[in-house]
Amino acid sequence: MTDKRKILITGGAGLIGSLLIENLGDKYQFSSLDLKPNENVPSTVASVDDFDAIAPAFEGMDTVIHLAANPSPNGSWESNLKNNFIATYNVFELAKRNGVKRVIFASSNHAEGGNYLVPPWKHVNEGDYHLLKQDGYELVTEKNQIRPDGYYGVAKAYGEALGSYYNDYHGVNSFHLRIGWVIRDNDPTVNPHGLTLWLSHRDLVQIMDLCISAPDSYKYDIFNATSDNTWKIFDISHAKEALGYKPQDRAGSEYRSK
Amino acid sequence: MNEKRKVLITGGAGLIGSILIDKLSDKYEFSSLDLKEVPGIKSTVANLDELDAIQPAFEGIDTVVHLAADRSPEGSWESILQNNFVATYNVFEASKRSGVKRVIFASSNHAEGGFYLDPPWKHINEGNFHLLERDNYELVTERHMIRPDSYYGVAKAYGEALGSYYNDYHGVSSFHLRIGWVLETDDPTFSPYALSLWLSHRDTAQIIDLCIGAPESHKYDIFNATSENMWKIFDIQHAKDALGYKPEDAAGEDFELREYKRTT
Repeated sequence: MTDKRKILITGGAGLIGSLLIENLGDKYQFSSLDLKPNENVPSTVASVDDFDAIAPAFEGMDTVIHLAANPSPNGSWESNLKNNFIATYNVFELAKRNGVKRVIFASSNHAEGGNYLVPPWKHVNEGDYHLLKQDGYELVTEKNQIRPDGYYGVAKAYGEALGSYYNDYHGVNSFHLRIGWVIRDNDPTVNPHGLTLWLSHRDLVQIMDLCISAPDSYKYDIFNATSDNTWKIFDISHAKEALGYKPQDRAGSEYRSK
Repeated sequence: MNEKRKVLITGGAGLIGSILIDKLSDKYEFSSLDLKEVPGIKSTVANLDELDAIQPAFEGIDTVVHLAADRSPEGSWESILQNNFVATYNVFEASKRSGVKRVIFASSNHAEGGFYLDPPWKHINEGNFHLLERDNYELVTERHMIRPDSYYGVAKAYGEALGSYYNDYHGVSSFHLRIGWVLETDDPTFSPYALSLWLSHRDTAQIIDLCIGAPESHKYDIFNATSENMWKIFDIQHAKDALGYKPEDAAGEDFELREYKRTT
């Protein structure tokens, strides 16, 4: 019998962290690093911008899932500098020092959110579906130029760049998920933005599981990560082809308000 | 008669700043923001990591050329955080607050330097030109994924992303030049790396001049910027097509390995 893989989740007490621990706790040995404990797993309570305080949490880890951040797309520069820029450096540097093999970084659609300003994605984002032909317009792929919509989105693009550097030069391989929107009540019909960006709870768990278990020879990549929604902005075919992602959920066209 | 455009150069006392002031002063009204004064040019002496201290230098400025940074590709995280990350935020934010129309950011080949690890670019970087057929291998374009070789390169990629945000949401247009290598001696024959990356002094002045003068309708772009060197790693076609860049210099393939040391 093989030992379970040891995985540290930064932000383990948050929504995504809790979903992973709840659904994948049998398969992996999770621990959490967050401002509050996750009662279900060993937890280090510390702020990720405090390098020395968080260092012990990385000892003996195989994989790190880096979720902790100021999660507001409208967060101030000062907060992003501390909680997103410095914190993400700390995570990669400690992963390197502790021989962690892979970091999975929660990047975000907001690294490309500037695209919502222009058609056809503007129409999708605003629910003007009648202006478009379904499956008949261009999608934003991982190859599009970076186009963030806030300091938060800039910090996500930075995390992807930092991860590329740590993979090439320090042997910490890194996967970057441009996560759409994981919604607490798992209901995307709130607005058109929710319908296009929805990443359902079980699709989230699936794509994270695929990133954790991808072979060691797979060193670095960036993936758009949403469910198989009807009106997409982001192309998810790369995750399907390269990871074997098979989304089980699909948002439709009906929403409650703009 | 039109007044000259007012251009603030951060790092105006450095090598590239000096080249611009030397070659383009008839055309633009330059000022400098740097840790030291530039004789004969209106100078603000301040550290770019202090937003309040640098803000006055941006008043009334049309265009900012942002060169100041810890320029070492081996710079530590702590230094890069302060001098490249925070400083570049300060430059964009001060530009927004003062109504600057365009920022031209000195990005770098180091934002893509990870590609030197792999063929065919590895061969060029190491001077093994015989392993390649000239003009018949892939070049790194501005559309390749970001692949930095250092914290310095990560900070350059960050600056490009930040500039995209300030263009889309705050009306500060931004151009990003992935500069190859501007040499104090203007002589790239000391290594294959320099032969490939060389951006001569006059080509530096030309491409920055084109960025300053590009129409306001051209809002945001990224350009590889080297001279027309024989053994390229970076494709400069986009700068030719979109800016009308016509490099006047071209490094060849002969080199004699020597150490390159800056005097300043």
